[in-house]
Amino acid sequence: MREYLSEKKGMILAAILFPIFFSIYFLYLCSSWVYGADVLYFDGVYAAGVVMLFLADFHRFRRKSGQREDMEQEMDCLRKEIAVLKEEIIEQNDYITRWLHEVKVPLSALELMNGRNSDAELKREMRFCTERIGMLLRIMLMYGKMGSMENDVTFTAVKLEEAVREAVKNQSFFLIRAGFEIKMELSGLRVFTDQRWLVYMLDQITANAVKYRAEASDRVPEILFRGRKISEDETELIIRDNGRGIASEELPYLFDRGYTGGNVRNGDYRSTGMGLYFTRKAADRLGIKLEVHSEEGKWTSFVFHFYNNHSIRPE
Amino acid sequence: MKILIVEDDAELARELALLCRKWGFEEARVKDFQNICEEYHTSHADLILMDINLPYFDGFYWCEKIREISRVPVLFLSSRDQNADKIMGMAAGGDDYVEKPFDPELLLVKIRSMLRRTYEYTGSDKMYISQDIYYENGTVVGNGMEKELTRSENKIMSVLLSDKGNVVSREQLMQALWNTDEFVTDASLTVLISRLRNKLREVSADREIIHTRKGIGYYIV
Repeated sequence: MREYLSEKKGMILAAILFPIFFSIYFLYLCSSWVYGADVLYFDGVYAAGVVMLFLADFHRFRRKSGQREDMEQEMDCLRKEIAVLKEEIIEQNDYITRWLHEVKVPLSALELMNGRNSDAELKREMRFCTERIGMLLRIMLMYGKMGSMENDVTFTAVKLEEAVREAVKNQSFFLIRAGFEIKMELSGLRVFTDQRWLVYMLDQITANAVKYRAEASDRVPEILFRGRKISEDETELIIRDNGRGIASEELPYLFDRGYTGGNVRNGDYRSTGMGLYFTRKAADRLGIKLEVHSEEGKWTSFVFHFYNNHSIRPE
Repeated sequence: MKILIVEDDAELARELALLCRKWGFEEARVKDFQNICEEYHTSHADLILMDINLPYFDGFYWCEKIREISRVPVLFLSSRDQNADKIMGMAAGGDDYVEKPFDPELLLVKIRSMLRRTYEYTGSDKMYISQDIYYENGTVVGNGMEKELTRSENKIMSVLLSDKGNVVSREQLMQALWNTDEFVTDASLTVLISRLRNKLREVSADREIIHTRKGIGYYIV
């Protein structure tokens, strides 16, 4: 009741003041033209009407406030649920990362054992499999770390050449197998970013170039890494391949989750369409602008724009 | 030179031990993960390969403990690829860091360079190709002549020699070169091999040393 009164204070005051003003006006100022009894009668009718209106309104108010309380309770429940889910996601990410590290141990052992394999053909086939597993683990690792990225990001002056080399080495087995030619024009450029994440991203983009290379008979597959300083602040890194390219209608969806495109794969490793999705996500969080351009059947180029490079102290 | 392997995964430890032996090092494996310092002490190792995730205490802890008694080089082997780990490893007194899964070739390079730095170890790199021809420190000697090899040629030579008698595929050779940042193509590998062969012919009086197994790769008998 009190709540209701305090909320409708203004209206109640107006409802009381109006008949007083009305009565005074007609009874004293215009008293010669109206009968006092008529005014009082009108006041009576008015009072009854107002009371009824307020009663109805009060009921509605009661019902509403009940609903509001229910809603607030529901919100509280949801908030709690979100907190629990958040906790669970953190736990899950943590578990994924741990699991990945555990898997790597037998994988390393397997790779070393395969080194002793005297059957060259079998050795190669097994290596192909272990490399593929490694590749899939790296995508998963990216995912596991994405959730708590802010805990493991270190911005430093990163030599583009170093990051590119590491990514190329990660993919070396597949690049060599496909007969790729590697070209680098990075001229000692440095950018202000997290090296590890940059390598993860370049790794995915290089993998993409291998996956969508041109048919072997067409031309020697090639991947070019070219760096360019645009201003004191901005540096770009272009990764361009001479592969099958991407149809212009597919371009906007390239970084979408699970997008694998209409391209027939080369049978190397099947894609889950997650690599590029994570790459875009990581780039966004690191403040890197990532673009893709392509001409179908000819080339694809990914462009990284790094900013804030003025924070790098000269060597 | 003796290497102490601190790795609690039995399979991986065994493989590492086999590799060490293949490379011509002695090895010892830690069995009691509660007393790694003692095991180190009794092993008289010249280098430690240290895993990070260990039972009881982690590798950082043991590295610090070992640092209290010795300056022995410590190479961390870790599957936890976190920026922080590298820094932790260095802070604990580690000398280098290799990530799992690792390339054995790369591991050997790191071990050799650490040993060289610490003990001025040059190793018995002298490898006989045949009775009167040998390869040592980047040169081939024979027929009263010495031929210096380039970086890439050296790499090819050491890979072929370390697997003497077995065929090494072209892809394996390329992989080894790529690991040292020489991203050669298939065609340039052919050029490299033929140049290397020419140099070898001079010291071997026109005997063929690197043989070709068609469609597979190369080998040295």
